[in-house]
Amino acid sequence: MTVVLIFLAIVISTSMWWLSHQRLGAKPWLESGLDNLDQGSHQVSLPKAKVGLLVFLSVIGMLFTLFFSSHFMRQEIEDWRSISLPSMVWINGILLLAASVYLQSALITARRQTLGAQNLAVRSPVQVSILSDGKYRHSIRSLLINACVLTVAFLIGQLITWHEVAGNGFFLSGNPSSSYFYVLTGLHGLHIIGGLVALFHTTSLTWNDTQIHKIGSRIDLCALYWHFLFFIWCAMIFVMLGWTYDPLIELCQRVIL
Amino acid sequence: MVEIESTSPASVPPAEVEEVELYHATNFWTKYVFSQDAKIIAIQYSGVAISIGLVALVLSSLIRLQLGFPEMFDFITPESYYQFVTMHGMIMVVYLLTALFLGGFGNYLIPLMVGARDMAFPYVNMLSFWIYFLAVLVLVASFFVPGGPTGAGWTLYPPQAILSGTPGGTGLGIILMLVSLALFIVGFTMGGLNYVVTVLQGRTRGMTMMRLPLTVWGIFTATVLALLAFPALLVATVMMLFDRLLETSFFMPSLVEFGDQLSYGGGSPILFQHLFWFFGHPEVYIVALPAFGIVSDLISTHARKNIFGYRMMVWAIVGIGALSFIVWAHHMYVSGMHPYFGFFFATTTLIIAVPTALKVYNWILTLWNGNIHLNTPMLFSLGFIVTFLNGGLTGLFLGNVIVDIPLSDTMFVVAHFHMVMGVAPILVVLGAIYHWYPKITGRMLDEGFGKIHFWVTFVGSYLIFFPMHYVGLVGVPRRYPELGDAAFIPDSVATLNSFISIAAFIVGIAQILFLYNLFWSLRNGRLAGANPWRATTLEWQTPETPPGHGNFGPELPLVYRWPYDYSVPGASEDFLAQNDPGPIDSGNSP
Ligand code: HEM
Ligand SMILES: [Cu+2]
Repeated sequence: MTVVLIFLAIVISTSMWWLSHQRLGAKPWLESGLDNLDQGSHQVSLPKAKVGLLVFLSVIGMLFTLFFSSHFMRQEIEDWRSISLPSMVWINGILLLAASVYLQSALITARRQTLGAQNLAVRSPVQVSILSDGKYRHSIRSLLINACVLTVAFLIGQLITWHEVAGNGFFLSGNPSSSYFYVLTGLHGLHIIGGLVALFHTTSLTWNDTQIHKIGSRIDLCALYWHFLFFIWCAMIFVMLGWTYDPLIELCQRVIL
Repeated sequence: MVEIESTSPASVPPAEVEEVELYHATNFWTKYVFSQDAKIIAIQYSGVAISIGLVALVLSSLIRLQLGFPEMFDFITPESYYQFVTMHGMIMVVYLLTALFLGGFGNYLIPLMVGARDMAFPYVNMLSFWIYFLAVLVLVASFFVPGGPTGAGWTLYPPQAILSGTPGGTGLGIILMLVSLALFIVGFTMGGLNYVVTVLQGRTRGMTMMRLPLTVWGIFTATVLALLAFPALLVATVMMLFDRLLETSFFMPSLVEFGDQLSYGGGSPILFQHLFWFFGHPEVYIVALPAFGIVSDLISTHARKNIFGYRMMVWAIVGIGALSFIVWAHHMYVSGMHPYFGFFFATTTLIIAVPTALKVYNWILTLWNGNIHLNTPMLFSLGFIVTFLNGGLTGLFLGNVIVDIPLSDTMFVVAHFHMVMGVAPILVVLGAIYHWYPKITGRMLDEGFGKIHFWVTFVGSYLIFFPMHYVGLVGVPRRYPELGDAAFIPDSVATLNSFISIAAFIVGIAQILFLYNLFWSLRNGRLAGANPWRATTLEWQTPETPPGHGNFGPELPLVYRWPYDYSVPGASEDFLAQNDPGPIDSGNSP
């Protein structure tokens, strides 16, 4: 359970860090009034949806780190035969990374538009929408479409990987290492599919006249989610290749299990 | 003392954040069925949770029928006994208490208490309820499938859970149980995101974290725990489903069943135990922390005293929450673990008792010299404190490896956890219903019925669970439908068991009185008015009772003070509500 405890420690210390900025030492029974408490506002200064997503990502993080922990514990038992991953996984990794990068640049473009619009708005408010919109909207749309295509390609790539692994004689119920392989990649794929629904929706918004800064905040969420899932994917491959299996971890496991 | 001048409403600076659009329902279906209003969702959650909880109550009576009067009832076979015990435990812990505290009270109280119009993501909140409802339906369905529900015990330990020796193990029973749990977790996660984000982002102006009522602190922290702990159960259920359906060997060792070698091999049942209890122990605090919070508010209100040590209470809630993740293996002392491992977990278990004891002291000091109104909510709160203390003390025994090993899997454990996470939280639930019913319906529950309900439930619970400790101490094991004539079991155990059973039936029947009161008072209860308990928190300050859509009328309340300004000298009444700017001329110290 070491991995999950490390992840949990990160989540908990982040929350504690945030809490420690909430004047936990205040003596609320001595203070009344509104003004003094409003400054240095105690709300988190992020949009609601982003806070929601961050909380959700910690839940997903727990889910995967728990799987990793159980993977490490299961691989201690002698029937374990490590699985050899086909080289296709590296291509998949690059596809997902590229999708992530495209989303990030879509985000940057949207931000630039919003900034530009603000600057312009100072001079001539009327022109804002006419001037900036078309140009940016177009490039955001193509960046998003690229991200969609790459992600779908990633999913197809994962299916091909499954096919190859099965071709090598590793089936779901064969060796526990292959059981973990299918379950983990499957679960990751499901999360990607869930994200794709949101991404498709966001992309479709570029066709109607939703304001770009609204699309931008959705792209922000998608980008964060994609980066996180890419990170999880890397961790997953590390775990399955057994690369983190160094003497230090072995020692910890001796002590704890 | 630092005295900060209170501002008059006139000098309130304009809000920086604009109000959000509220969703408005247009027809009956979107208003009452697929409602996105947290208050309706709360009532839906509570209704479903209480209904399924009644099923669990009936199951407990069936269990007691068998234990009190063995061999008298032909319809209770050993198989069905296991099924009753399993479903009773699982329903009580997950589908009743977790759903009621977080989905029910959380949904109703969080937006009102923090001064928000609704939850942060109302649509997701609605989905949360319907997925929960689906989970309950799947659970109920397992009673009607061939082979019946699973009888694996609420802990669902493999390998027995999915073998033919266990009722439901090779049929649909265990599958439906696992699917239902997975659905529950998905549904809960949707709700949980709402509760957390609403507390973080939805607070009205002036409502700092350190001005939140302890109820909100309790529910908030419990939600965070649940969000982080339920994934462990999800991982366990998913892997067990694969083991059961697709013959993987995550948890299943190689086995010979009736002479046949099964296709499993190498899996680790201990791995399941780790995952299960990594969820299971925080689960205890998921039902305890909201109870802690609610009880603090109830005793403060009904003893007209500010809560003693508010800051300590908050820190204790957060501290207990964090610690609860590193004690899980005290449920596994007999699993053959490394002695140092057990030592570590015994230590952390005892450490967690420190903040818990601190809370008990603070409740008692809050009551000290208070103007205690012995009404039903207060009685239930006092009952909770006593019962929780009692269960906590036996917990200290069980937390020590050396004491736990002989007591493990005896009725002593059953008595302990019923005191601490069965009776105690249920007393708070009941007290809280008596407290908030006037806000939810506009009418008071009947006090006469309430007092009878309290005394029968409270005394009855003690008559059930106190003797059960002794039954456990002589070594009667848990999860045994019948004891036979073992030499170490004296005859008095049988007498005691019949006695316990009769007490249990009386307690069960007393709940009918409560249900009757709930429905009767809906039409005939005394009209409550906006703030019958003269309480300070925001939910009692709404312009309408029950609160309308959007909770607070045209203007959101502004918060000027903490929630415990009771018995304030010089105030026009004996309390100052949180949105009361207070006497403007002088500084007002509580
Ligand atoms: C009138 C109220 C109740 C009575 C009479 C009662 C009685 C019992 C009995 C006799 C058992 C079985 C002991 C055995 O043979 O192993 C049991 C098990 C259990 N009960 Fe209750 N109970 C009540 C309420 C609750 C509540 C409110 C909870 C909520 C936490 C709860 C949680 C459990 C759990 C988790 C188990 C263990 C199930 C298992 O062994 O798998 N009970 N109860
Ligand atoms: Cu525990």
